[in-house]
Amino acid sequence: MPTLTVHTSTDLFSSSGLSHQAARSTNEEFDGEDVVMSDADSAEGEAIEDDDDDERLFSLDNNENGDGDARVTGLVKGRHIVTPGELVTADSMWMRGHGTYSVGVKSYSSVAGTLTRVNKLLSVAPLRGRYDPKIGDHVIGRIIDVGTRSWHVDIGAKQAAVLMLGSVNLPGGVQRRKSESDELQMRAFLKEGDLLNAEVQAVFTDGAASLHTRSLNYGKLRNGYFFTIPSSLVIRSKYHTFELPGGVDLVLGVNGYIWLRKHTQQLGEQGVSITRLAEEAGWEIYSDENEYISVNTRESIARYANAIKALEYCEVGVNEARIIAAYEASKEYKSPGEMIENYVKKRIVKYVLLTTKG
Amino acid sequence: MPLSLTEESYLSVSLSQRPPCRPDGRDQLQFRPIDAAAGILPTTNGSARIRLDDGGECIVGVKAEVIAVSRPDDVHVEVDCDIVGLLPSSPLQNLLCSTLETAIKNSLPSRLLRITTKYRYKIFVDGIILDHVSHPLTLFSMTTYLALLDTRLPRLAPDSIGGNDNDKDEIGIPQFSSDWADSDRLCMSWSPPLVQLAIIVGKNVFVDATGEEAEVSDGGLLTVWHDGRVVGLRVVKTRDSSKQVFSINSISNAVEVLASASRDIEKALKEIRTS
Repeated sequence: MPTLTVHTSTDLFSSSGLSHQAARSTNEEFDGEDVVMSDADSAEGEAIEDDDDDERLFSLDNNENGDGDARVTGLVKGRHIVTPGELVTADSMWMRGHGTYSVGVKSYSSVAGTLTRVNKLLSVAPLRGRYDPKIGDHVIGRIIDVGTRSWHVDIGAKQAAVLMLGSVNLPGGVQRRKSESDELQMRAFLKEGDLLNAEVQAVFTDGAASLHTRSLNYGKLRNGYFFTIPSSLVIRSKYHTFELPGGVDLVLGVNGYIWLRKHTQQLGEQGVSITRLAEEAGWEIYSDENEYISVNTRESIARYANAIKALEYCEVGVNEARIIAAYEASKEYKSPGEMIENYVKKRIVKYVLLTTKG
Repeated sequence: MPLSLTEESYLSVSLSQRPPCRPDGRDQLQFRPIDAAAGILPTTNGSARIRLDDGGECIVGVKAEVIAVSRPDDVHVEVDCDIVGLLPSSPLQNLLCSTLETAIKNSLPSRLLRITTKYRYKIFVDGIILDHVSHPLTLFSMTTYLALLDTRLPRLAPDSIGGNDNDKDEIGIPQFSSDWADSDRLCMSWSPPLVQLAIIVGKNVFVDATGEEAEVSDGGLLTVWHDGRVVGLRVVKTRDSSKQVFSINSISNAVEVLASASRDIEKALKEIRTS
């Protein structure tokens, strides 16, 4: 029987709650394939220990030796991976955070992921799952609904995000007052299916996000190609918009939504003063027309898309340096189409990890 | 999920220009890698599972039932499939089942299913499409092909067969050999049909289209491949506003492309079965 692909086995394992043993065996398979499993700095190899389960878990709870705390720290540093239903600790001294549940004094993991500790708070960060919006995240979303004075936006989270009419730049500039006619022509700005990038302005108590696009870095997307990767693979950084070699711009949404487009001078880059920006923003920010995109640019976009999918296939975190390294490595292959083969993906990622580590 | 206008125009220009540039850089004839396994269901006569790169997955099991020849219904093959997430008897399901059923029925000689003069086999092909992002027809057809290649029909028990053919025909209920290894492959002298779908965008034809590619296509064309040639074709709707009429040129172009793709796929699937 052909080997399981990394992607599918992880999916199986997180969604259907296979037995711990099964999960363990898939993990071992990764090791055999020489593919790095998650985005950790160096110690992934040790993350999955083959010790006896009970021993490992009890060492977490055991305070007899007085160094129980130190042991937990050690385990957490070593990227301790737990599966749903696994005993995290039987000690009541720990506070239970996200991804855990308790029966009596015992705490169990409710998701498959890495155990993390902040002081006395234990939580489990899921390997897979929906995007969890945080204030300030640069995300990409797709309009799913036009409501009264607001749009509903799919950002891959548990709930649709809200984009208020007051949180977008309207043609005519920042100072413009919103009138009733704006409410009536909301579909002229953004309609169902439209893609936009935005920032998470606030997160409500139920976990739903409120977005804003009040900067010329944000807004409707055009001249490019959209695809998604799991949000857990996106490494947060200061910026999420990059100008890449090959005349391509990348918007790497923290929610795992990705936009690759032809490089264009953004309004903010044209040397217009901040005060004039307001007046500069005309209807073109809501344009539905693409500019001319050359065949070379389209090919570069395909190459970048495949480079990012290769990183995704090998479960390696995605950031600017790695994407560029993967793109450079892929130039060995004349056609970007060759990069869809799994062994090519592995080769490229191996090279990426070698070159971007130091 | 509808595409945005700019996405749609990016994709349709990319695909209709010459030479085309697919969003993942593939050739017009290039398939994405698949993960295939045969003989995965022990309680069936033949089975297969195929998983696609995009998460699409299909499992097919083939069961043979013994029925009396005298039974009025002439059907000797029945194809059924469930698509997870769609209601039963959705248009897509009807397309999949009817296409495959017709293709198999027309190509499978009934002598292969004969047991005695009074009894014959009836083949049930049951599939489930656990997930699909792109059009599931090719996926279902490839899995069915592999499952049929894997299908074995039990032989009659040696002691139930008399000295000559006449005796054999007179036995009431056929007795089968209890040894599972004592069985014949269904596909010894027959090769199952293979249905392949291509999408047409402008003057270009693409095989193994992703969901988004199908979303900007003019329409699709399916061909039935059997015994080294194309034996049937049909225009398929790939999206709500897809065209139903194509020029002779684009159809003959698509048939040519599909014939060559089917030849490769058939070869690859046969290799999976033997490995």
